[in-house]
Amino acid sequence: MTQDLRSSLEELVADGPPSLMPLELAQVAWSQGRRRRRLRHATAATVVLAVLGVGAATLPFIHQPLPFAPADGGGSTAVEGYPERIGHQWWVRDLPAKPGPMALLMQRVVHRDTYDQPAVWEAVSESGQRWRIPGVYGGYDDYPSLSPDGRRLAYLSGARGPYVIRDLVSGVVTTFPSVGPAVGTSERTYATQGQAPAFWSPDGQHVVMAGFRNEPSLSGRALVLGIDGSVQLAHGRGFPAGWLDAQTVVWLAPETYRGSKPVPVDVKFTDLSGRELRSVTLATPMRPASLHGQWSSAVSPDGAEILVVQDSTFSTVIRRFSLADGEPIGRAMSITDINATCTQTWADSTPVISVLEQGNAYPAELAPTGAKRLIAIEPRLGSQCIVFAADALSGIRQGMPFGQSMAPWTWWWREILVAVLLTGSLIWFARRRVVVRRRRLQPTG
Amino acid sequence: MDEFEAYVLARSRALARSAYLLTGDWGLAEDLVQESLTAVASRWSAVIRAGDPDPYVRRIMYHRSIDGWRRRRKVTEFSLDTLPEARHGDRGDAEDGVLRRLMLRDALGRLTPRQRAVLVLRFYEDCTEVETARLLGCSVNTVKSQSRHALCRLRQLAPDLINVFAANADVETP
Repeated sequence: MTQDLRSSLEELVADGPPSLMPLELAQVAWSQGRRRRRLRHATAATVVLAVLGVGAATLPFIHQPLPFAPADGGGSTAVEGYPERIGHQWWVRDLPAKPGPMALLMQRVVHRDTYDQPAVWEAVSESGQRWRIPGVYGGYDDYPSLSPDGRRLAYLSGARGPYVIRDLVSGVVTTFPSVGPAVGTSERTYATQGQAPAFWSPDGQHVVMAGFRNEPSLSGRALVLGIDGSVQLAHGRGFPAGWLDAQTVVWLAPETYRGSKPVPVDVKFTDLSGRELRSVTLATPMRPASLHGQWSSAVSPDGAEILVVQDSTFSTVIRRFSLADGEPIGRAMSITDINATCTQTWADSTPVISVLEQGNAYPAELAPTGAKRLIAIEPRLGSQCIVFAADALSGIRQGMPFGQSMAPWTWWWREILVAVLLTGSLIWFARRRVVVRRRRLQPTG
Repeated sequence: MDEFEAYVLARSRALARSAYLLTGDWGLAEDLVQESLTAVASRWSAVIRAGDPDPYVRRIMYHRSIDGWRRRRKVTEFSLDTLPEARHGDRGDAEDGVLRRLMLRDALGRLTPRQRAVLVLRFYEDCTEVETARLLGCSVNTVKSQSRHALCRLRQLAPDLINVFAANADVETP
């Protein structure tokens, strides 16, 4: 049969090809082949460039902060915005000496399953890069703070102090040997109150925080530290709530508790030593028990308003008052999921509160319609408190891919992309090897 | 370019004949040859560095006839019912030859592309089973089974051709 089949096939093609013109065929094929070769080379070059570009932009270990350029060299010495998203980072290093100005500080719960929930504080640049800040109480009771321009970081440098103010631009560290934490610091003259936020003066020269003198009477209410290393004990009532101007500290001071009835709440203005300059009574009385003291109030950057967070049984009420006469501004807003044990802040004249979502906190702008998310934070980071540099919030929000989306894959798009590229490369390489092997096996004759 | 031109001048007719057996139409066959030569031209320097370009060209052509190229243009199929000669009782030798060619072309067109490729390689190009397997990128067993199925199907599709082939002793019954 095979012989007959062969002769039949040869017979079938004996007449042709009738219209084949080999020379034209060769020219057309060569021309098209050359075009295809160029296209292939251009595509390969584009793909290589794209892969290199994507790799350089996305691989976490390449994404390092730019080295600090001194002010006279044109480098930025003040923060100009904040990141739109904060996601995981494969390597979080200790804060270097001169990382440049920071946009915010973020407290993270490291292990949720343990009783004391150890936490860490991290400094975050306006591009979203994170660095670890050494903690004192395992990050839980600490309360570091940033100067308005994000240039200076104030915090307790160790379990027994001292308190320090670090210049993140020049690397200069101002140490306060007389100031330590509230626990186990009898050898230091002053102690900061645990879990108490610190407020920077508008000019960035002083920082005030709840504190006292280590003596039998434990006198004082606040410590005012200067970036020149000075320490002042300010006597007063209540808790510091911010600054009216560079020389005037604002205090929230509810009257002494008198049963379950609401009592008048005063706002006092003092100089740096605690000497009272004037006082305003807020128009709405409140029960002292509904206030969280050190976390309940925040003065706006222009010193015109004070924000008061009042806890009730079922929700938390936020009120705004004029610091000129104590009258309420706008209507009180009830926010269910606010993180009341964390300091609130302002973006210019808009309050920024800390909102809890499935146990994680994120900063939100207090719009008339409710809380509006400012920064998307990856849930697995376990964010708790966010402390901003004031100028960061009045600056530009640094747009990032996927914006405010909280979809899980948006946090992992770099890894997904790298995995796809690697898998594609491996498949291409494997196929290429098979093709090469087949070519080698192919008879050349 | 000169080398390529010389190669095309020398081999294009032979390639077109094979392509015709794969496609059943001279126009489609020329298209298939041109597609294959274009693909080779785009890698010509690498191909000639490896040696003789013919195996590479044939591999491309057969693969395209089975895979990509086949999807774009359907192989032409002819039915013998449409040919008046097929119904006539007495025919001359010339008519018999034409009819046999048409029947064979029609039967080839009804095989699967892979079966057709195996038949052409094995029985027209005289490739061994091993060479056929290498060219098509499959195992020798696949070539054997495809070849057996193709012949069996040919006998079903063109029973008149069985008379022509039946006298031969190596006709196998699957």
